[in-house]
Amino acid sequence: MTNGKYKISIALCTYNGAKFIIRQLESFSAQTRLPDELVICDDCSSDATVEIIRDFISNAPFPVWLQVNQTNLGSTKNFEKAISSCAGELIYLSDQDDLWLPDKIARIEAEFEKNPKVGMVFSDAEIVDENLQPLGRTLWSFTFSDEKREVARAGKFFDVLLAQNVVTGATMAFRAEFRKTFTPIPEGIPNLIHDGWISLVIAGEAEVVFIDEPLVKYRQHAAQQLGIGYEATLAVDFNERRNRYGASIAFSENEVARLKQMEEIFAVYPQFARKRGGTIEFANLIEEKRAKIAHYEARRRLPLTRFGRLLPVLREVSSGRYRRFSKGWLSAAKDLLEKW
Amino acid sequence: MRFFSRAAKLLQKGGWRKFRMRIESDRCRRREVKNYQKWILANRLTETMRETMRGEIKTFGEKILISVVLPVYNVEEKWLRLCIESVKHQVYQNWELCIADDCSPSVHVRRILEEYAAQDERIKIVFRSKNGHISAASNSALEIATGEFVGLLDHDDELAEDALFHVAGEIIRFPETDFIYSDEDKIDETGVRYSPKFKPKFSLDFLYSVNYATHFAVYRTAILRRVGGFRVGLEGSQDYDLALRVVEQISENHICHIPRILYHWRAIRGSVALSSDEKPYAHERAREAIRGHLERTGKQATVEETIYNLHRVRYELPSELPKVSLIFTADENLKFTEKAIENFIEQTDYANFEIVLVRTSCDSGRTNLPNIKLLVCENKNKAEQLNFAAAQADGEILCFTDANLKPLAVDWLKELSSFALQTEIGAVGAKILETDENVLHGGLIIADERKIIGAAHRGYQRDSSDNIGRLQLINNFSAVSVSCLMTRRKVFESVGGYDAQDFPNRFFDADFCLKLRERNYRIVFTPYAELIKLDKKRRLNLEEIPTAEEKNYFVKRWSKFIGRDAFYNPNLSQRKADFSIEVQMVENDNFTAETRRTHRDSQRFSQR
Repeated sequence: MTNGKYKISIALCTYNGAKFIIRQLESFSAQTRLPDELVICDDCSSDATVEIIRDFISNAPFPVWLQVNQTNLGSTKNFEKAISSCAGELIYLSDQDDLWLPDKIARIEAEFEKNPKVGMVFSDAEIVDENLQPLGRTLWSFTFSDEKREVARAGKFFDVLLAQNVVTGATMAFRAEFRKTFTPIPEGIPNLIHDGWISLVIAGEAEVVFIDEPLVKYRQHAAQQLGIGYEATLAVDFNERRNRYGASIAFSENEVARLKQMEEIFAVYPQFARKRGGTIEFANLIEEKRAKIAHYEARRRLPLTRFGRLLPVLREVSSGRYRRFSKGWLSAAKDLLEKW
Repeated sequence: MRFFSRAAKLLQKGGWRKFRMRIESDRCRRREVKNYQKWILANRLTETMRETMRGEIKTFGEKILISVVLPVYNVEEKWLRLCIESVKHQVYQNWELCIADDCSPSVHVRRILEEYAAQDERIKIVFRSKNGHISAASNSALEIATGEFVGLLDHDDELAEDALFHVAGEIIRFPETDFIYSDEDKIDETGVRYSPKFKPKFSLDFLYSVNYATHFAVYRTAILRRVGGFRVGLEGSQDYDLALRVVEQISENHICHIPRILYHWRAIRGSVALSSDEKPYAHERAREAIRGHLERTGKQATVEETIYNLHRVRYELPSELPKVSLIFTADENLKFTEKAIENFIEQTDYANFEIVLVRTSCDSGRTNLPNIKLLVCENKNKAEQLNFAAAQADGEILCFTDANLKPLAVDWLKELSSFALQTEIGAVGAKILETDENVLHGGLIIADERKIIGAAHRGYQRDSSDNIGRLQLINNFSAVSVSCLMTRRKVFESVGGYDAQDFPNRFFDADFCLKLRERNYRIVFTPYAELIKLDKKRRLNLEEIPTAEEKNYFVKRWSKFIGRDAFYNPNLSQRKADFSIEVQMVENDNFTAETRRTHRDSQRFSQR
């Protein structure tokens, strides 16, 4: 006997999340379709997280399994542990500080019901501040652009993922049968945490559905464990904007490192070799990232005087990299004309 | 005003925390009171249900005559009328009512009885010529009984309308049945029903603690006659004595529990229902009855008075104490484990025990504790570690426990081993408390397929008297937790120890106990061995989170018990396994009949 067609588990990892955990938990209880179980692994929190969870358990409308680790396992291993304990056929991942909209479980379950070939479903999320006030943007506006969605709809979702992860853990759910395939979750790959890895593996094996609607209020705040940062979009002036390219460069360098490691993993992991191994051009992808780094490097190194910027900007324009990595002519004009 | 002074007193005595806990538990109790009213509403008989029952009675084939034995003495008119009417209105009509008036001085009794006897020839009356008290009166009534089965009714209580229907139904389905008892509640002077007792299946150790099986009790007449009926001299506990004497005559498989409220016990002044202090002589006689039973069955044990005037059986330990191996698994923090083990050594007055500590090789550090058996098991798997430790231990008795616990009293090991040494008992568990003295475990309950296992009475106050006192009295469960589990080595080995293959981390304890149940061993919980958690932040060592495979396999392996633990009760929440009443408006009557039947089947199974 389950609440719906599938047995549904939620895997939640907590670590010093006392401030927001209760809202997250209550949003599970407020689902129109309740989960069949909630599995919580607390990674050695030193604050009141566990007590709050225990209080919640005593009145929870579904069974809750709580594991309090005695030594800190780290986020990845902890998620792996929580996932391995989920007895449901569908596993929903959760962060500790968001708020699920009431129909999240139901909406996602419906997608799985529609098509048995679907292995994973994820959605957009509304970005909110600490007090749950909307910040006016959705998660996908940072991670999963319209362009990428077009590519994904054309059946190349795996390639989108490989270039950069677009699936955020707090919005995803997958079929438990893939657990065998994606564990153990590799650690230490830059720019790739559990959600990126899991979605990559499942995308290689099965169909993925994305719901173009926020089903989660995604909290953005200082203490966030796994979130996205603000990109350098609202720089105040040329000088400051120039300095922010450092972060983008570091990120892209990590991307190169990630792709190199992925290439090695692809050689070893049978499911990748079987499904996609032959077709992925890692060299091209890496080349792309390197070009991006070069572009940002060039923009960062632009001299302060407008006259001095002329030549380097023209060089970048002629290489076409403004078009590929920035907003084309607009960015070039900005670089050329902006006051410093 | 009284409320405030009570609150102030509580605050003064226990501090804020205890005060809050008290408020919380009062709130729960009030909720349960309300829930029972809802339950009554949801489970009331409807005309269609009566029709269905009448239809089913027609299919019974052989008609079973049930004699209701009713001793009467000086009872108020309205209660006597209600009592007799409750028999007359039974859906199952093949009964006779055998009344013995114990020479009541009040004239109305005779008048009423004669009036009813004139109305209905199934009502038979003996007027005793001299007063002989309840045992003699009951025997007089029993003498005129001609039915194959005899049910016991008190002169101010009431039977539920469907009581005899369900009893007859059980007898038809299981003709070998000798003794049937049901759930019961209380009914006040205005007819309001409250305080339900949702009972477990037949639990011998519970019967030694409290006379829980008396209302509504139905016995095979031949057996009552064989044991010589009610015993004169044990008035007040004559029904308890009868139950014990019957139980020693019959096989446990022939005892059946109907998990339905079939009996309403009238709570009026002067009746034992209202307070256990009303008839003090009854308690001493109850212990006399138990003593007699223990003697007849050759058990070396004594009976003592315990809380609520109830009973505690103490088995005698042999003069030469068998060796007990206390088995611990090491915590990541070896210092902590060492300290905990020192606690254990200090807090144990049992003369013959050894300490076995098992750790994985990757643990660093050495232990300075003298006289302990330190084992290294490469396997990380908890069940495997415990099996390994058990194999290396030399005790005749194994006691698995946790290094984050501390015994509260020094006699804990004596208490546990006195049970573990009984040949029919397979495993025994203790009361485990959280650091704030709330209960962590008091036995295990097999819950529904999502919850799977519930720790009995988790979160209850240490001294809670709820649920027929099952937290305060020795009684039986389907399983006990490995946080403190004692068993004889022979028993442990007979089922191959813990199933480390299928349950490496969790549930191996419940799995083990259920295997013992299959082999007819009893699993005992004793509240007289208490262990308290040492470090609040640290979890119990063996409370690993189960893997998906463990959960799914347990549900599959023990599907016949999932959601129908016979030592729990089908009227209580299977989802929460916390003894809260499950109120379910069931539209389809067949459905309830079906689930009850499966409950019954699982009982049968576990008896064999």
